[in-house]
Amino acid sequence: MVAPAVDLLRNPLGAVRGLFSIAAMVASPAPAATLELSGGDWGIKGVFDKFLYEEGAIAQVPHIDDLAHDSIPSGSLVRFRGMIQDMFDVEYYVGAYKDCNTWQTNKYTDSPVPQDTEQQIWDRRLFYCVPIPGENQWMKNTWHSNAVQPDATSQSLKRKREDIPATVESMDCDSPTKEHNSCLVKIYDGNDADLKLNDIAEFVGIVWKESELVSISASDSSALAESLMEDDTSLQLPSSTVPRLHCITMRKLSAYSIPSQPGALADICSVRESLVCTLQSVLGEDRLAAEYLLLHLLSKVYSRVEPLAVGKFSLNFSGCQAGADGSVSLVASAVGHAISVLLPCSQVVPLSLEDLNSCLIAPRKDYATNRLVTGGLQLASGTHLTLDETALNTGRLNETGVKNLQSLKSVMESQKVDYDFQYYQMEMPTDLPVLVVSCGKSRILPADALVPLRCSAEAARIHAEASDLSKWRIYLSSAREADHVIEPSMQKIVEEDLVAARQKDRTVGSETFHRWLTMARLLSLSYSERSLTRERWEMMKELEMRCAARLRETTT
Amino acid sequence: MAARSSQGAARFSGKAPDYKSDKGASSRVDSRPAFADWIVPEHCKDLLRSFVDADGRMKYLEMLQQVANRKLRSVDISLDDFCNDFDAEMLVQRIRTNTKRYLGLFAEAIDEILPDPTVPIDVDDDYEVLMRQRNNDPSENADNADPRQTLPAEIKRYFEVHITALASEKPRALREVRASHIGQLVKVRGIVTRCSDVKPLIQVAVYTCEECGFEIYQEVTSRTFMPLLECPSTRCRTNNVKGRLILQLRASKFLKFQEAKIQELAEHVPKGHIPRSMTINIRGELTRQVLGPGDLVEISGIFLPVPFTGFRAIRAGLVADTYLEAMSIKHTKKRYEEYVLSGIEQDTIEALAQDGQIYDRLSFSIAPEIFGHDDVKKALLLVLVGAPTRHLKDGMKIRGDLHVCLMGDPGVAKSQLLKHMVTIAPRGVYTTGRGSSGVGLTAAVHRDPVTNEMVLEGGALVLADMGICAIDEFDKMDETDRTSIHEVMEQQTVSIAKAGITTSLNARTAILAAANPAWGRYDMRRTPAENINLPPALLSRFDLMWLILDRADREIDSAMATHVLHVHTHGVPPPTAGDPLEPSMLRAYVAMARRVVPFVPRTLTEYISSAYAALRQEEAQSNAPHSYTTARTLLSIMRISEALARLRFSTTVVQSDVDEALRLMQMSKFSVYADDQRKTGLDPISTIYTIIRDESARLRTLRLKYGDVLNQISVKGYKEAQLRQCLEEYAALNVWQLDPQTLDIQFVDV
Repeated sequence: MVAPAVDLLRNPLGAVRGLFSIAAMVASPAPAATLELSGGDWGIKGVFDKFLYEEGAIAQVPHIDDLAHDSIPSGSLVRFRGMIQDMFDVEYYVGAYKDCNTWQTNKYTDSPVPQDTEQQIWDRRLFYCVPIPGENQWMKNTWHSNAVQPDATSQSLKRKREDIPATVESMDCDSPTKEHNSCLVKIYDGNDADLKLNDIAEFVGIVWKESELVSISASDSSALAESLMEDDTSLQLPSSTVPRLHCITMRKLSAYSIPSQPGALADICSVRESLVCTLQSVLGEDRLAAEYLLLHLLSKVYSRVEPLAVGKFSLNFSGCQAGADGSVSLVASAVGHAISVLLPCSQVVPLSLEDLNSCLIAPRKDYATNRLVTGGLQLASGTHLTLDETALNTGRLNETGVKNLQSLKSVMESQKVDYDFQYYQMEMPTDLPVLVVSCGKSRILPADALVPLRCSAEAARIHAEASDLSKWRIYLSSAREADHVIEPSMQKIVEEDLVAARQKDRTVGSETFHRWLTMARLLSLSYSERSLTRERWEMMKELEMRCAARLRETTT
Repeated sequence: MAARSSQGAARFSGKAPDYKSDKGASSRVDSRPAFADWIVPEHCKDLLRSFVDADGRMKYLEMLQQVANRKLRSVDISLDDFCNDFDAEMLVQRIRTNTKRYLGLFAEAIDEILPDPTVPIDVDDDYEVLMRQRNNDPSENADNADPRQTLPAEIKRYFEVHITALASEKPRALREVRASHIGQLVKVRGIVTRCSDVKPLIQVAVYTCEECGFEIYQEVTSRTFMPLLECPSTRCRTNNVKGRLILQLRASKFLKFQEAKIQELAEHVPKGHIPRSMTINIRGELTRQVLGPGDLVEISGIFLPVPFTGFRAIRAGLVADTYLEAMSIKHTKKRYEEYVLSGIEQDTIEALAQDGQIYDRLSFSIAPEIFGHDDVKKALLLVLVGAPTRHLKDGMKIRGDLHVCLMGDPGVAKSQLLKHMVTIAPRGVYTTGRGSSGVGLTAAVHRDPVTNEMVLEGGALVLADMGICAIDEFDKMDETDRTSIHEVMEQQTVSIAKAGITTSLNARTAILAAANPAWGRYDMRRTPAENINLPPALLSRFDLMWLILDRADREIDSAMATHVLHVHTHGVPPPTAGDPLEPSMLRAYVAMARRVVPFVPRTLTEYISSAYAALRQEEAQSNAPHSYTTARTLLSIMRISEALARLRFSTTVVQSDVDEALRLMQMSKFSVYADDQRKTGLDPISTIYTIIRDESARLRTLRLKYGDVLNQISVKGYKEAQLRQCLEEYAALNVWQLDPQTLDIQFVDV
């Protein structure tokens, strides 16, 4: 197929229409053939993929949220990076119509078509996407500095952020009005097959806005809204605030990955050592806790064997003092800040009784509006959660509070969130590493590992050079992505060790086994080793032994 | 598109929302010219006139006679009826892909062939009065200038036509319905989420003109319509008077109309997706069939677009909304009794039943990811199957549901077993003893905040009626719930006498309880009774009571370590011996088994009673009885045996069923008292010897068959290998001699 000589960047629709007319011409003039046209994409995706990714034009495509709303003309090519927060029903639109005996397409637009023409109805999927929740500023900057934009220099990577990390006030339910920076993505031709709820993706497509005249009429429709038919979601999302993006091509991203990694790191061990030292100072000079924290930051669910999520490693730091009058405790805020500069997405959540009781953190379906009401736990996989249990004081939990705690518990135990669809619950798998900061052992939130903190100094905020920070980020991201195996010879040793441990101590159960294997894996990965060695296994046991010794001290 | 010569068809297509015949989608109307349009109405007539059903009755003619007699309003045309017709496939296909059009054609065909009423019809009916008047002076209204002055066929019709999809068509998930299905008859399954009131929908608006007095008709096919204002009649137009039209509500035709929303079923939604929904339009006689939110329905209907009108059309860029016009609504209930098996399932089940290992295979398929616990899983399988409830002549009821209690140390996967059971059972409720809701386990009386009336709200046990109620933390249950559970477990009802309401609610449920021992962990130094910490009255109601202890056993430990290691290295659980059945298959098998009503033959009663007597005897002899063998135990044996017979799809209980029942009961006791036995100092070999010796004494014979002995010892919970060892050891001591082939035992007479 000959690519039409149209400027894909400035006039993407021209390219779409050109390709369509070629396809329509190739197809026989029989009317039935147009039906087949709806199936294919006439080579559009291929042309754009080549243009954007192979020729590198993606950098020139502006981000939709970098631009003021009025400045984007309808029909221009933009991109949007976000999390899929809701999936609406299929939308049926007039895909093609016959204008003076030639078929015209209306794909990738919302433009009106002439009445009284022969029409074809096609379908497209609607995704409601929001900016990635809990995304840290440095990550945003990394992405946006790639784009050509006037204010990119002022937000460069080097700018050091001294202000408070992304501390959320509470895990409150978002009011439906929070449509700031969100986007309604329309996806064609079943390109959505592998997109799931809460996935992060970068969509490239054509932005479309409706004329002003029409957005006024939205209020006019209230009379119609009494019937069930009229609860159309696009009504609640006027295009003046939520732009429509007609996606031509997209790529799935992961919350772990950082764009543009400049080669492999030279000396893994020294990077690891410097990171552990920094974490040690953050945790009040507690080396053991820092080691555990590092492993925790590397953890991710790498497979699911129902009902287990293999690879999760939630951590509980006990022995932390509550912050003054209900604020976040010192440890939680220091750790939270450190994590926020190290990981792409993170949140610090003080668990206060009022917040727990006030609103649900698990998303639920609102049938009145036919939309998913998001909750604090609707996060992209890989988002780190720091729960500050020291903020909890005694009191009574109401039904909401109990449900919220159950949701948190199910995230920690099986990395699943139950979405409430009223008539049934939908289990959504997630991957949220959870760090609990508490005074004593947290009995409400069962973590995989419990480490009593021994601070010999005040927990301090992270202070580091930008170059170090970027090194650590790359280190964490690449270690997290890496694969790991246990060789059969090593498996034998491990197995014997496990059985011996259980023979010695009956409290060692399958949970302990899972923890040890996860820790051993993470330890290997932290040294950038791809298979388990005897040394790391022993090291893991050493860590566990020291931790167990501390636990005994605290109880006596 | 071929021109339609039939006047009726042309008029219909001009006005009815016949999506297909509109200029828009002509491409999707059949392009095959073989079936010329003009013969279609004739063909429809023929079909209705000539159809003879399996009983040799003229199904549709009888139906039409009833319509003519005003006894029936809806004519349900079933596509199944046309399957035997000539070139049936093609016709059915055409009807399915262009249903709306054929609805009109059938309606017209019925108009023409409708017989005269055979019974007198009430003449004072509004409808009759109007129709008579219209028929009397057809000339007056017809100066024929405008089609709006001719009487539309729709207003004359007293009936509605529905076309129901093929019964063999599999209902689709909502997400499988795409744009290519527009205009077609589809069958979907879903759960009702919203449902409107029944409202009148105008179908034909009738006006009279102030000037000329003519009746003007306007067919309304959309939800909104623009009322006519000016009289279109020739008289008014030639006189140029612009006669004002007045809407005659009484003369207009209205239709009952209801809207509902359905949502995809949980099992149709792929992981990580949001369930989709669909709007359903329900008209006429089908209204009020959807009872309310929460109903599971199977709807066949026509998938149609509604172009937006007015402002929304401009705003949304002519995006079409879609709805399903319901043709038939069926409630699907998820109960074993109504479980309809597909042909494939039926065949698979029959093949499975032939396999001798079905009992092991099924029990293994329960929570296959949970390691070991073979006998516990067998017991759980029997809970699913249950025994039939017996109604005695004097009104007494003997429950058929099996109750099982699992007690054990923390972390032995009790809760997981429970949760898994709830997902397998078609109706299962999982709750904890400290049920989080205020209603708790049984039922509660509330005052409705709106109406101020007392309302009764069922708790978990009532909700699990005809299903399984899994109660975790049974030991931590409230005292009040614990008392009412006595009633539930034997009488299977919940009685309420609160706030002026006295009633009894059905709770025909099998109870599956999980409890921790009294001190959290099983304490070996104390007696089992102290550890179990449940009153005997409650304990005796459980058919099986299982104690799962976390014992130090190198074999189990190493199996566990291997399992965990495998999970971590391969990301999948280690391959299991047999391949487990899918839960849906398990459910289907159990549903099938539950239809069997087995009975105990007279010949077996003797055997059961002697077994029961032996149990009682054993208990009397023991100085610290652990079990409470009562008449209930006898019933338990019967229940378990019957459930086992059901699994074989057999209507007669055989001795092996009873033996297995006794073995399970023995094993469940063993799990509780195994340690005890160790203390008595008897090794299994000596015990087996004692059993054999007693047996020979009882039968007064010195010759025992190997098979009988094996039965005897397996009932007591010993293994075949142990028996062999015992036989060999004692044969070496010359206590008895063994037949080298059959291993039958001949005692050496001393």
